[in-house]
Amino acid sequence: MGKAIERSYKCQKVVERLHQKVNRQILGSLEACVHCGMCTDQCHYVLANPGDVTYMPSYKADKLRKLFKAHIDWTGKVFPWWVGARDLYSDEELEELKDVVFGKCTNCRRCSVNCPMGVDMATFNRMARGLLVSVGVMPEGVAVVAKDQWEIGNQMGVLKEDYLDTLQWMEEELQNEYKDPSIKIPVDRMGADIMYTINPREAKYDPRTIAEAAAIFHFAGASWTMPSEGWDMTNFGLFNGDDELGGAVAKRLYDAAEALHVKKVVISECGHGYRSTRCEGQNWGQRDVSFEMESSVITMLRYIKEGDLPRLLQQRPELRAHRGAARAPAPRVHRLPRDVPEPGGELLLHRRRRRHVHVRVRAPAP
Amino acid sequence: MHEISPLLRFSEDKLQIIALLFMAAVYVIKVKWILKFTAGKERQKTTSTGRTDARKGAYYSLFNIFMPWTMSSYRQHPLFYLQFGVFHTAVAVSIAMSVAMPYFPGLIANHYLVLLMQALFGAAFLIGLGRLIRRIASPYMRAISSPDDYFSLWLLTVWFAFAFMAAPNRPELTELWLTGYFLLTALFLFYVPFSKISHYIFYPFTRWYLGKTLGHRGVYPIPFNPGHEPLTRLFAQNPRHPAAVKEAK
Repeated sequence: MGKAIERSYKCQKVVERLHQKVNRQILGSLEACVHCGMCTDQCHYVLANPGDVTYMPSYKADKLRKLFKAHIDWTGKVFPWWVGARDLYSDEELEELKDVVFGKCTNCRRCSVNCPMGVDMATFNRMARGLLVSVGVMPEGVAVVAKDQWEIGNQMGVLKEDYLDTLQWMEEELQNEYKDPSIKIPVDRMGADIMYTINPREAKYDPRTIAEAAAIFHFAGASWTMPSEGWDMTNFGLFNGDDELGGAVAKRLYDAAEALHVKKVVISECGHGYRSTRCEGQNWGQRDVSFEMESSVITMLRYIKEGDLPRLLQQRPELRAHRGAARAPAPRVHRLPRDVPEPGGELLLHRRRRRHVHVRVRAPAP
Repeated sequence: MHEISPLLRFSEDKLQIIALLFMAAVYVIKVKWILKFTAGKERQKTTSTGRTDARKGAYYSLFNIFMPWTMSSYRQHPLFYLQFGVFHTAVAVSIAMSVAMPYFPGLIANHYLVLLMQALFGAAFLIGLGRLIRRIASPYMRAISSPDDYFSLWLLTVWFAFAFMAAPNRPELTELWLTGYFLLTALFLFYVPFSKISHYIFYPFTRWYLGKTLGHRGVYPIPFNPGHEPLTRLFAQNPRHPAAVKEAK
């Protein structure tokens, strides 16, 4: 009889944690696939790589499913070869799995909504990422960014003093531009209605978006603030499948909101950040929150639709539309489209007697 | 009157009962096993705008399979959906026939009904054959197929062939086919709980949970005219919001 293959330490840990991670939803999705192939040409990776079977959603899912069948599925434990069960033994196999779950799937769920069985690929693909991350197997870029978010509090490694300096700088710029010393970017204002949270990219690469938002809040008469900590609404826990990171990052933001006693957290324009903060953070962190959360797209639309912003803009002709900006409204807004943009949709704002200003407003992803 | 063989008598009666009881027992154990796994919960407040909620999403998802127009996979492959419908209808009819034949033969005595069933089984047989060829010939399908996939499809396809021949229920003419049909039915019932054919046990779970999540997030049910909902829906997160009340009226 041949010698039993020895499993590497990392593989052993992955197998142990698999048993802990599989819940009812994941179990159903791993068991229910009938290999019908209906998901195949719904996947954008497949369409972009014709002829390469390794991009098929069911093929990618089977990379984890084989391990599940080897250890949890009934038939797979007794007759593994019959149902395609396959165990993990080497670190090289973990690297192969990493390439699939990180490099060949964006968790968009396009396969899932077109699957007759409702297999939720995104959920167990993210679980697989989390298993790999727990043993240190992940793309280098993911590791670096996740480390920054753990240690510094935001995914771009922006230090607190740099962040506060940036806010002060933008405040000064706004006061100069509008010749109005009352325009502020308040920090840690207690009891404000809104706590505005941003993507660290804004602080690090283009803080003008912060200034634009501040101008809108000011002219809309909003009671608002930005926190000195817990301001990063992005969350690498979404990408790397690490629920602990996801929960920790979300908690920082929630703690800041509760410490400042704000009524609402407004999340600046970032689809994954919105989803992480508004939807997933509470699940990852096992934490309920007492305040509302809203995308800045909705906030701005509300100002346009229900507030005084259009009238104010008519009174202040010096306010200009920013070409391509997702938030700044055009002056003389006199007509809004009837419909609300779906994710990726567009809101067209018109300027009378001048060129049309085409502003793309991205509605938040589910 | 033709005297049926002991094998046929056994296979159409006692063997079916044994097989059914076995399958039922295994399924009860399996469902209890599924329920032992905890279900993940959503803590977040709904991102629905009043049009959807978790329950609506779950029901929509459960019945999604009867609305092929809601899935682009079926919109792009309508013939595939038709085949799916015929195949699964044939499974249900064949199972019903296996119960009716020994205990309620009068129910399937009508000549035209028999012809209809044979047409269904014949179509399902051809579909099964086509799917087997597809699974063998297509590199995409080969890449995801296990021995269970091939065997399950082969088993059902052959079963339909026997069902076609057995449907007239004339032991004096087709005892071999009848015996084969009941033996295959019993094999099917013994094999199903351990194969991918048991996907229908998982179907309610996967569809319910996917639908619940997507309904809670405001995605399911997918509106009939996505992208053209009025602006007020975005603000009508509270069902008592004036916009939602107005819309409900």
